[in-house]
Amino acid sequence: MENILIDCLQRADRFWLLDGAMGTQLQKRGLPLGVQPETFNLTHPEVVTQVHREYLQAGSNILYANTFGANRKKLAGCSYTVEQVITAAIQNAKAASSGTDALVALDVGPIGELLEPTGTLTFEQAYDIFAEEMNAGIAAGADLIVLETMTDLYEVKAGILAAKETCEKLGKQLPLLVSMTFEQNGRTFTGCCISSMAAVIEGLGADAIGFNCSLGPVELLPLARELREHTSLPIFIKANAGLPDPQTNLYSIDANQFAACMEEYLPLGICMMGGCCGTDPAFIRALRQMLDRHTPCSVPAPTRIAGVCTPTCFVPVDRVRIIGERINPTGKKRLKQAIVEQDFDYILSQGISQVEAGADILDVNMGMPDIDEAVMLPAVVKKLQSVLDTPLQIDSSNPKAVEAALRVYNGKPIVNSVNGEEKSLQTILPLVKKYGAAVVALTMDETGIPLLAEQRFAVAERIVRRAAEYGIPKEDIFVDCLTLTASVQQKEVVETLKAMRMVKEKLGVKTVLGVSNISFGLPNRELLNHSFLLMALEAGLDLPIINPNVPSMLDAIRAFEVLYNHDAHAARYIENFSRPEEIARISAKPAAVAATIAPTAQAAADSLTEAIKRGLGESVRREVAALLGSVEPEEIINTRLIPALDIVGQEFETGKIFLPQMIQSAQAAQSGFEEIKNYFSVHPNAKSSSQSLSEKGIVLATVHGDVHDIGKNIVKVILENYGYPVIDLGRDVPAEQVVAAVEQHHIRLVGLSALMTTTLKSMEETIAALRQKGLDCKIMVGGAVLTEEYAAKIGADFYAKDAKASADIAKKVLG
Amino acid sequence: MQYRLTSIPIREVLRYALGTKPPDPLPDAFLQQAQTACQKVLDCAQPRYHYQIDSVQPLLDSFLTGQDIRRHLSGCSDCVLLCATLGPQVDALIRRTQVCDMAQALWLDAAASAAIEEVCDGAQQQIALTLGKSLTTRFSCGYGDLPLIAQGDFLRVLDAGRRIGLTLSPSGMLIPIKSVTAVAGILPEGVVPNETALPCAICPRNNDCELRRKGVFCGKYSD
Repeated sequence: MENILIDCLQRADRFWLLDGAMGTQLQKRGLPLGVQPETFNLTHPEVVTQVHREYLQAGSNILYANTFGANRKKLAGCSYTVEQVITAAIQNAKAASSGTDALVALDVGPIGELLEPTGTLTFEQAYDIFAEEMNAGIAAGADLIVLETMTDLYEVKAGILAAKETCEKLGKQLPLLVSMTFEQNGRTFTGCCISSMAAVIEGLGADAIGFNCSLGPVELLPLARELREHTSLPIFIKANAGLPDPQTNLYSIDANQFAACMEEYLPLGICMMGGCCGTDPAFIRALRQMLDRHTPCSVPAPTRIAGVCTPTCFVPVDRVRIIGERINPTGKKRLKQAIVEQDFDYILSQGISQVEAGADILDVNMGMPDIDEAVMLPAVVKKLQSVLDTPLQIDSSNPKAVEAALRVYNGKPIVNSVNGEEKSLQTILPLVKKYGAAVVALTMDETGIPLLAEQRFAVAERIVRRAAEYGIPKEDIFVDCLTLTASVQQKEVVETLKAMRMVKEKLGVKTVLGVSNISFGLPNRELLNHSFLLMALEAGLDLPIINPNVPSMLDAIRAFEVLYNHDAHAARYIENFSRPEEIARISAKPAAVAATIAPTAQAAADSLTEAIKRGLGESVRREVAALLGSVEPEEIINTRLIPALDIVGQEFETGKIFLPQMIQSAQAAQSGFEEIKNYFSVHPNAKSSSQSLSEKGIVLATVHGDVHDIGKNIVKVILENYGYPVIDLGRDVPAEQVVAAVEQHHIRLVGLSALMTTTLKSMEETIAALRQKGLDCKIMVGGAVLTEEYAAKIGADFYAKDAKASADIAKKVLG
Repeated sequence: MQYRLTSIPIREVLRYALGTKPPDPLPDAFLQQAQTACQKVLDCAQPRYHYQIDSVQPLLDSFLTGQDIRRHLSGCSDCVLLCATLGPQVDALIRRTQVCDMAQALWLDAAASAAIEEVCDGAQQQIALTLGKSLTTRFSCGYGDLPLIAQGDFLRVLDAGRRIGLTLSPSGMLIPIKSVTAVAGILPEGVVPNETALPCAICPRNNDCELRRKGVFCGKYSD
């Protein structure tokens, strides 16, 4: 039966009529407002069954069991378990459908809490919540699974994985239908767009895709047309009965109008429909009558679009797209240090600066000795996705790390990479298929990198064929013909270009290439990189992996796009070079040779102080760089940077300057500290001034349950600039994590923040946990609702009324 | 429903960002930073609100507890329950900016706080116009003795998750962060709304307030 439905869905040769609204039907029959409708399955089974029966009599072939909100979060506080509610619900629907060929769906709605990074529910928690529902529904005999009314694509991913993996565990193969709720602007509340929705849901292996709720059939029609262009999956629609009147809550169209509107969906090949809010059995009957007058239309599948995405940003590979290469520790000392120290802010800033420079996709590689990639790679993927909506390329040779990152990635990523080796094909391709990713195919195998273009082509051809066997379409394969270093294998440079032409022409796939390798070991690397990039673009390169912060590389691509007529009317070219910063860059005269006379120490100190006071980061960086040759780093910090910050602090305290100015000064000083850090990473033998964690380290956290962390982050900026190494545990931090960090690093000062009265309790519990462990650390607390008195009451040592006060406390405790 | 937000009052942005009365004359840099932040927030916000009209008494008997809300709604038989949000995009913008530029993040945070209040003001005006009635000022959970935990009931009654994507974290926080829930009484014909903001007297911190010490008022200026 299960496979029959999947086959039928795919053939689209019959209509499937879904049912209409459940909640309002139950309310009509006595469900009190505020009572969870799913509990009615147990308290009033006959009422629920009666509603199902009416939909069945009206013509439904698929009944959604009354399980929409039957998850452990929404059922918390009622006396039934998820399993009890779902089992009863499936039984009630089956009682109605028995003796007919109607199917019963386990209906799974949103959890009701927003997932990370906007909310606090983790992806893994969401998966568990859904898995519990899936287990109960499948065990109770559901014929299919529906995820509906979703607005967050990340939540959808957790739901699809939970459905498919639970089915697999229980040895079942249930069809999976997924529908999301959009607004008229073609986005969900969380900003998800239709192209990303289609790419992710189809990639993860759902059997049908659709829309439900929020809008009426008239408003949904243009969205359905758009969806049709992006998916070859069957589409299903459960619209509302028009739009509700905000005052009366009544919907705007009747059953006949509804059916007439839905008739317009048939030419799109849509053969599965029902109703959502405001619909009742009369609407379903009207739909039945309408459908009985028609036969399903068959429409050709849309052309597949090569592309990758996050929920809010779909990047089609329809022109040259830049993959930023900078988040890769190979050859980057400062990044290595950041990875070891888990300095996520530095890693994120590398991502942000590449995107601001023009990267369309970011490569992420955490491969370093002594770093557990399977932990670090997914962690960095999550962090990057909390601040950027640029798609990512997951770059690792460790399959465990690849899978861990694929699992938590929100959207459709690229996996870098698979190659022609049998072992690689067998481990990587199933992961790419399961998680619906695209993949970089390296044209090498057991024998290494073939020298000749024809041989590399043969490897590419084999990978494309093997991928097809796993069900991976060629649009999701980006072939890398491998750049060789001109200083070593000069003869083979052209083979790369030749191979690229062959794979483009004969295999019809997109190509990717790491460009910068070409110039290793030769002077003026930028010239070679830039020249090779142009040659590669001419040979058909779609996805150059480059450093987007080098302007000449981006310029080459912009020019190529114009000359190859990819940038119609040179619109993007003109737009870019009309930006003031670009005009300034192009017209800038070559920088004058730096002043030959070193500034006297005193003059430098004065201008440094002034630059910090005025918050001019770039000037501070320059001043510090100039000093670094002649003055010890430690002296720069202690006699220049810190005293300047002290002046700023005093001015803030006396009301002469305001908080934004103090932060700006701290940030400017930070540029100086960053310059010193860079100096140390290239002069490892220089006398390091960096304070050891146990000596001066401070742990900062916004307590469990609290997501308002801007105050804590301000404190962090200030403390770091007084030279205190800060371990920032982030927001919503459980007490045990604070305790563990303090223990591990022998920390002597902890700063906790909480914004709301509801989370002060967590603050108190965190303090208690630290005290109970007998840890020898002082605790300072801050936050909008705290008072000196309350801080003392919950056992804190210090109350920090603002960021400046926290620096004073640190000085008192740590010196 | 969606709300078209076209501007954010700069004076409110300055008040949130500086935490004190703006200096006079105002430095150009402040004005510029506030304006830049406002534009960024306007570009990325997806403001939405939803409301319903309920009888006051049953609400007072259930989750609108405490003396202060009772006093606030006295004389009103019906009230408007309102929820509004700027959407998760603004939270993401502030999160992203914090990585590289904390000072700008502070301005954005201030602009977003001013923006959500502006959305509520606008929504309240539209609702009053639709009803042809005057409304009292807004009163939210956490004001006076109306506990913050009532937020959950608020969202449930308004079906705020489905209507505008507004949810509650397990610890009772609104998510997205830049969101508001509030109740405003519907005044009987002929009663003039009291335009003054809520007094410090009902605030649990009225004796221990940094802002009051600096001579500023955390409520909206009422001229």
